[in-house]
Amino acid sequence: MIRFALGNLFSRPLRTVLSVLGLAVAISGMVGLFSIAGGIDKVVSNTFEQIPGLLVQQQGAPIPLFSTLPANWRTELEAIPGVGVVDPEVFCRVNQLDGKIIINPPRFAIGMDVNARLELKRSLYRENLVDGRFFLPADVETNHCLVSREISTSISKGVGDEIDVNGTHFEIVGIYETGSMMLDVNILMDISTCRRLGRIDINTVGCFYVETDDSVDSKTLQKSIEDHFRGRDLQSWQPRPQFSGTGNAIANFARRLDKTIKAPSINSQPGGNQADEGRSDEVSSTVSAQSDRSPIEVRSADDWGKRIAEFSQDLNIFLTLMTAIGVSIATLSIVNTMLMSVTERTTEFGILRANGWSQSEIIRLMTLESSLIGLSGGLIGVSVGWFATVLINWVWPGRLQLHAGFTLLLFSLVFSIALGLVGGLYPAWRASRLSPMESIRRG
Amino acid sequence: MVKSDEVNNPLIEVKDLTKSYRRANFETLVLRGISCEVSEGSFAFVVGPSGSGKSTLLYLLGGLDNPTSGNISIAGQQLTEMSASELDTLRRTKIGFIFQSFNLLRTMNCIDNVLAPFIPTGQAAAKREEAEALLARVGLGDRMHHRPSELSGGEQQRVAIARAILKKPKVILADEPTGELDTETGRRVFEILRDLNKTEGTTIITVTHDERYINSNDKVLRMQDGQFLTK
Ligand SMILES: Nc1ncnc2c1ncn2[C@@H]1O[C@H](COP(=O)(O)OP(=O)(O)OP(=O)(O)O)[C@@H](O)[C@H]1O
Ligand SMILES: [Mg+2]
Repeated sequence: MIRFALGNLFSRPLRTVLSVLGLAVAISGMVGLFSIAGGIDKVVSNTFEQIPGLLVQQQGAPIPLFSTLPANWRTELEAIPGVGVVDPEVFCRVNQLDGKIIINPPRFAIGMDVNARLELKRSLYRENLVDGRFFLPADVETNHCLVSREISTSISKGVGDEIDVNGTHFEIVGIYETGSMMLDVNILMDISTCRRLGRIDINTVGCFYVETDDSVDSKTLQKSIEDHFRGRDLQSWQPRPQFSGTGNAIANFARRLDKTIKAPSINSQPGGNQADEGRSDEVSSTVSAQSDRSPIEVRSADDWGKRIAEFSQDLNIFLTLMTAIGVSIATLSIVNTMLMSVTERTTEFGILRANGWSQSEIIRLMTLESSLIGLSGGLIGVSVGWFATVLINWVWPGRLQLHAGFTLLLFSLVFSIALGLVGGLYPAWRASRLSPMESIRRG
Repeated sequence: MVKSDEVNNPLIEVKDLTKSYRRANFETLVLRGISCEVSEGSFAFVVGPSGSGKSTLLYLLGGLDNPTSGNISIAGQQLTEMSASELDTLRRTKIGFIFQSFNLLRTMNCIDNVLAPFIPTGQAAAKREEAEALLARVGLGDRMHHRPSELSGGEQQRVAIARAILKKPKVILADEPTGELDTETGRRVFEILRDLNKTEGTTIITVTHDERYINSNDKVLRMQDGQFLTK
C-alpha cells in the first residue's frame, strides 16, 4: 500500500513537492519559534542552577539589577540566625568598553565584596574560572577585573591586558565562563571600585547575596529575613532612569518578567499579605508609613525558576498562536492537494472499488498519501528548523542561544504527520463516498 | 473442471430488476423489470442499442450499485442482503471486471495493476508469481514493468483480463471490452476469454456492439429500453 501511495504522490511531483514545502516552511517556523522559548528556558535554568543562595533585593524589582537597598542592612542580615555569608553587590551599566559604545549585548559592571565572596561555599564565578585567577583580598580597592570569555573574545583582550570601562582603566586578572547569557555579560570588580565607576552612594547597595550556614533550610531563612525587615520604610521599586529606554533585550526581558512576577495569581511570597502584592506599583508611595509589608524580597533559585516558567508559558501561548497561522495554511494546502487528487482520480477509485477495495481501504490509501506528505514536510521542516537554530547560534554566539531540544523536534515531526493525516481525512472521505459505478462511468 | 450436470445450474439469477435514476424530481427508469438466469460456465452476451441499459445491468450484477427493486443472486447469495464488506469480498474474489477503457491504475506498472485487488489484504506478494504467469499467458510476459501509458489499448485490456483471472472468479463481467480496439486486437481479447471459459469454466458475461464475436451456442440477452426483447 505504501508503494502504491508513494507512486501516486510521485506521479504528480510538482504538486506533491509544493504541499510538502508548504508544510516544511510551517514546521520549520514552528521549530524556530519554539526554540526561542527553549533557549530562554535553558538560559534560565543554566543561570539559576548556579546560584544556590538567596537574593535579597528591593521589593518589586524584577531582577537584582533594578534594586537598591541600604548598605547598613548587611550587619542586620548577618545577625539573623541561619545566615552564613552576606555578599553586598552593586551594579552599573557599562556604556563604553575600550572606547566603543555598548548597546547590545549589554555589559554590566558588578561590584562585589571580595572578602565575602571568598567566604562563600559556592561561588559562581570562581567555579567557572577558565583563565587567570579569581579575586584575592589584595584586589580590594584596585582596578582589577574579571571578564567573561565572551567579552574577552569580543574585545580581543586576555588576562593581563588593560581595558577601558566607561573611561576608567582596568586590568583583566581572570576570565570566567558560566555558559549563561544572563551572567556572561558581567565585568566583575571590587565593590568600592564599582561604586566609584557608577557614582553609587556609599550607603546603598544593589542587593545582597546570602548563603545559609546550613543550620536552617532556605525556605525558613527566606521567611525570617522578610519578617525581620517587615514594616521598614523603603520606596518600592521604580524604574531607574538609567535603565529605561535602553531598548536592549535584557531590559525588555526584565520588564516583561516584572509584570509576570507582579501578577497576583502567581505571587507566592512567604509572609502572606497576598492582597497587597498585586498592586505594589500604586501602593508604594502611600503605604510607606504604616506598611507591615516587607520592603524587600528574598528569592531563591526555585522562585526564579517558577516565575520564569510562568513567563515562558505566556510566551508559549504567543508562539502557539504564531505557529497556528502557518500550520493552518499548510494544512489547507494539503487538503487542497488531496481534493484535487480525488477529483482527478475518480475513475481510479471506481476501479479499486470494482476490485474489492472497501470504503475504509480507500480512506486508508488517501490518508496514507497525505500522511506521507506530512512526514516529508515534517522531516524537511524539522531539519531546516534545527539547522537554522544551529546556524543562528553559531553566527551570533553571544546572543540568546536558541534551543531546539529532541522533544521539540520529535513533537514537531509527529505533529506534522498528524496534520497530513487530518488534512487528508476529508478528501479521503469524499473519495470513499463516490459510487463505484458513477466513478467508472465518468472515466 | 466443471462437470456436465453442473453446467446447467443457474449461477446468476435476476428477478424483476428495476433501476431508476432521480435527477431534479425527474425519474428515469433505466431497467424496467428484468428477469434472467445465467448458468455456470456459460458465455453470455448482452446486446442492444445505446442507452438501453446494458452497462447499468452489468454494474448491478457486480454489486457496484444497488437496484431500485428486484433481486440478484450470485451462487445462491442475494446481493441485496449482503453487507458492504461481503460485497467487497465478492468483488475481490468472485467477480472480475473488465471495462471498455481506463481499466488500469496509471501510477502502477502492469504487474502491480494485476495485483491491485490484493494490496489491502497483504496477499499481493504471495500472488506475485501467479500474476507474472498470467501476464505471460495473455502475451505480456515482456511488459510486466511497463506503465499503462506505455501500452496499447489491446495490451491494457489484456492486463485487465489478467487481473480478473488472478481472482479465480466465478464470473467475469466485461463492458464492451473491445469497444476501442481494432478487429484483430479485439479478436485476441475474445480468444483469451473463450479459452478461460473453456479451460476454467469461468462464466463470462460481455456487453458488446459487435455481434461477430458471438458464437452459435452462446447465450444472448437482447435489450431495448430497459427490457429484454426475447428470452
Ligand atoms: N447516473 C445516471 N443518472 C441518470 N441517468 C443515467 C445515469 N446513468 C445512466 N443513465 C441513463 O441510463 C440509461 C442506460 O445507460 P447505460 O449506460 O446502461 O446504457 P448502455 O446500454 O450501456 O448504453 P451504451 O451502449 O451507450 O453504453 C441511459 O439512458 C443513461 O442516460
Ligand atoms: Mg454501456
